Amino acid sequence: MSTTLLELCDVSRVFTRNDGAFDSLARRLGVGRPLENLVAVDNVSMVVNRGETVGIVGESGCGKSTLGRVAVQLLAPSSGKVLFEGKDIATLPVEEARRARFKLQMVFQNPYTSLNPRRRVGETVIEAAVSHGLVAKADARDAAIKAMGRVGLKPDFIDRFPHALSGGQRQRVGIARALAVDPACVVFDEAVAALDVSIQAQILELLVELRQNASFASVFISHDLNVVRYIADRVVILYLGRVVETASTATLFEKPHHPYSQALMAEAPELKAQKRIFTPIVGELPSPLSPPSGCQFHPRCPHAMPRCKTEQPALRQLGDGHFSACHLDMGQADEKHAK
Amino acid sequence: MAEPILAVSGLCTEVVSDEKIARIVRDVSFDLYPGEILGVVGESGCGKSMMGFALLNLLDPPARVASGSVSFAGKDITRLPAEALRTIRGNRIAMIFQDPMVSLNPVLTIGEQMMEAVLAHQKVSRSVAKARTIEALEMVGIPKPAERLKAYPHEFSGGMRQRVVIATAFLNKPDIIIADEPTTALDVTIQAQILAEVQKMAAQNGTAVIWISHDMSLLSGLADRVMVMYAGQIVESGSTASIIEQPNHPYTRALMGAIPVPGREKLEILRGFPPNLLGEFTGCAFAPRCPLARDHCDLERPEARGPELTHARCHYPLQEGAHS
Repeated sequence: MSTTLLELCDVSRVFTRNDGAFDSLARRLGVGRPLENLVAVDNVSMVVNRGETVGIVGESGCGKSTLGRVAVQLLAPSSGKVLFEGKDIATLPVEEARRARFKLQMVFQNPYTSLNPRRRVGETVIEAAVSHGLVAKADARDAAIKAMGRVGLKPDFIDRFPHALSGGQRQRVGIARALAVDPACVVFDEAVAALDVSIQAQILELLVELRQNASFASVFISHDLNVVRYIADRVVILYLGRVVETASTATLFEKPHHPYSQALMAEAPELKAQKRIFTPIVGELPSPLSPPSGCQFHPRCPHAMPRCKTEQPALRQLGDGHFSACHLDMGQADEKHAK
Repeated sequence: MAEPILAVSGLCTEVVSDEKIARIVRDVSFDLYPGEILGVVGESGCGKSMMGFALLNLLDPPARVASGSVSFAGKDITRLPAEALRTIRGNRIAMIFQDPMVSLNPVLTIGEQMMEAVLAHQKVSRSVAKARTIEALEMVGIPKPAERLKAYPHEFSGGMRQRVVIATAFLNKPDIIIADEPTTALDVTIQAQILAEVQKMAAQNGTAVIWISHDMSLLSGLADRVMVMYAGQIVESGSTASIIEQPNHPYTRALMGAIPVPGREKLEILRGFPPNLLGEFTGCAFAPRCPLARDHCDLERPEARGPELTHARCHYPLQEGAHS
């Protein structure tokens, strides 16, 4: 069995602004504005190995949620392929594609909106497993209690509605629902962002524990570097839909190469008994509707060179599994620093 | 030390419904000094937001201030008539709420509502108000602020909206800013930008800041002093450094142990929930969740103790145990 579970090959996802009947008519007559394209994910390749946790980090609007949705087949890629166990899901026969999608599950950011308010916890948790024939209808209740038990929800929650649950409990329901179908890979899209630190710790520890006992891989999408550092084996950093750097968690946090990665780390809050001066990245996140030329980070980069404005840097390998898309040669930069 | 700009004494708030009384804020006292950034930390439901509201007398029935005082410039805010409050709110004391979509009016342009905040409090011309508005927007990093005055809130992203709210709070150069988790929903990059501006305001204009948050790691870089709230009470307070290096209350330690910091192998899990605030506690409110609780903790309510600046409401403070 190959170690690669899920592979995204040069995946892009483009959204076209739907500008209404008038504009579309005008365009047909040749006088309207051209259609505006938003490239949310731009030629991203990444691999998720069996049992591993990959963290995806970036600011709002960098395409990390879109990438997660493409990975679990909630969105089709505009170009590129998503291979699950080596097979392109888009070309599989209907029944096989359905089974593959079923192995890919997602836990959403907002535990208040991702649960049906009119459905009891037990039904929400077990519905997918029943409808896909994993669990017989007669056993549904027992299976639901078992699935809830795995995430630390007591059996008496089974007949409650989401409104009677706290945020942390709701997020547990979301996780139980995803795990009930025995997935191969779960995408957690900002699954702890809406929670208090104490509840966040409970959910993170739950994930660590589940990962030890079950054999699913996970993709952990977050804007919180500390959380990703805690949970992920490998990290991918996105900026405006492109991968700017990827490496093992240890390498990335010890030796970040890309100036954007470095800036993100400089801004993350730290628990230190010392006041600090916050030094924000200069400038704004550019509009993804009109991204900058060349390296998209160049208008905000402290090291930008003329070349960065015109030439898009490709991902370069710096070490084992460490890739960065930057023209800067860090070896040289380090030497300069040393002098 | 200078005179405090705000002195809170014995503040209690309650919510009354069906003859039941929930006591949400319980006997909170503290002083706030000019230029100081005071962090308030605690879990959801510990009363920290309601305390922030009470400081500006913003509670509506069935919630109300039950007793205590909030004195600002020689006046007790909790007893001021509406007229007098209007000259303070948004002018001398500004509040930044958590959700920017709720605090901005969706049918007014950004420029209209920001200029209104200036014109309501100061006798200046519209052009002066406009110039100040542009200046404030520039300060929080809104690009091309003069052009954005005509935009409506829905045209801004969440982070930009929150920066508009924060710029509005800065407009009248208030003496005090009360911020209720304003950066919780924002990216770290935007958060860093806002924290940098707040630090600048405090250092340059002497603005005092009360920053409410559930995240001790954020407060550690920002605040001079931290108050830890649990079940409506301040269970510990002290300088940020002393709280982080030598927490006295087990709750404070648990809050910090839950944060994923580099090198931490396992996060501390605080089981259970903050208690129901309907009744009176016979013992320590934290005892049912406290890993160090002894029999005595259920029987007697702990009073604040310890050196003057590091009060901990605990029978068995951690640092004392460490020395004995």
